[in-house]
Amino acid sequence: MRMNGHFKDEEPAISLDVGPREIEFLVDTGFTGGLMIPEVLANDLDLTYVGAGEFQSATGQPIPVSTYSMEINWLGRRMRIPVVTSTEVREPLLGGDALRDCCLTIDYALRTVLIAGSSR
Amino acid sequence: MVREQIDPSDFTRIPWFREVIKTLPEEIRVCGEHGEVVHIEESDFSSNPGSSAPFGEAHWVGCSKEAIHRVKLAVNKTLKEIDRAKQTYQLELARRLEPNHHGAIVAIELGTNDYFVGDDELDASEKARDAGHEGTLFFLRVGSPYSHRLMTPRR
Repeated sequence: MRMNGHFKDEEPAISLDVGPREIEFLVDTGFTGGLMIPEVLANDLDLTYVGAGEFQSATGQPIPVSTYSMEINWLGRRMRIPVVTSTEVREPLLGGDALRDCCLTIDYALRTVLIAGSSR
Repeated sequence: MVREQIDPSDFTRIPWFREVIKTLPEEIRVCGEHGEVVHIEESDFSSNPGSSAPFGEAHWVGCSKEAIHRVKLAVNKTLKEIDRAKQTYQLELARRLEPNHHGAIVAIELGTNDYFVGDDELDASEKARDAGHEGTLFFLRVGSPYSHRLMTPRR
């Protein structure tokens, strides 16, 4: 199973079905978490609170976050994954934890983004 | 509405205040008499006084002093418990967990400081719930003072 992303401006992105609608996430391998959603986009999602955490930003500042669980369609399966929300972020991000068992291919020349299950 | 000024020395803690308010029971964060949620408002964005925040003033806002006081007490209690959870990790759990669980997520229950290790936040929290722990969890990544890093500067 595979999922096709796209380029949003100059950055790789992918749209995911998060229940009531789709959200476009930037694919950001510099983010070690799974999914991050700005709080203003999270209000109507079916989220279950799991706990609190703290991220380290690129500038070294701590960012407090709330962690939730949420069901999404991921590589053809319905699965529950950790999602963090914060008032301190502006863009939805998909990070390394979401890609843990995947192969991510980004072709900057062809401007294609592909997420597939790993062959390992 | 009643407004209560937040001291500028607490401006950097406002994101934490907001995160904690969201987790409080409705009977604490919402005034039972008027139905208003106690919240925080920043103002004076034009005259950034050079502090670490892009605003000059911030206030707790609620329908009564009592409602604000109730929320502030609960927020401060939770933040103290989070500080204690961080201390527990540094003083006790780091040497216990880092040799064999580096990179895993540890969920520390606020108040008891009991802890559970998992592959991610859901895995660690399920272990806590399965063991009968129902308190609020604070997550850290074993080997780090944070749960995750965000290395790409974002607007």
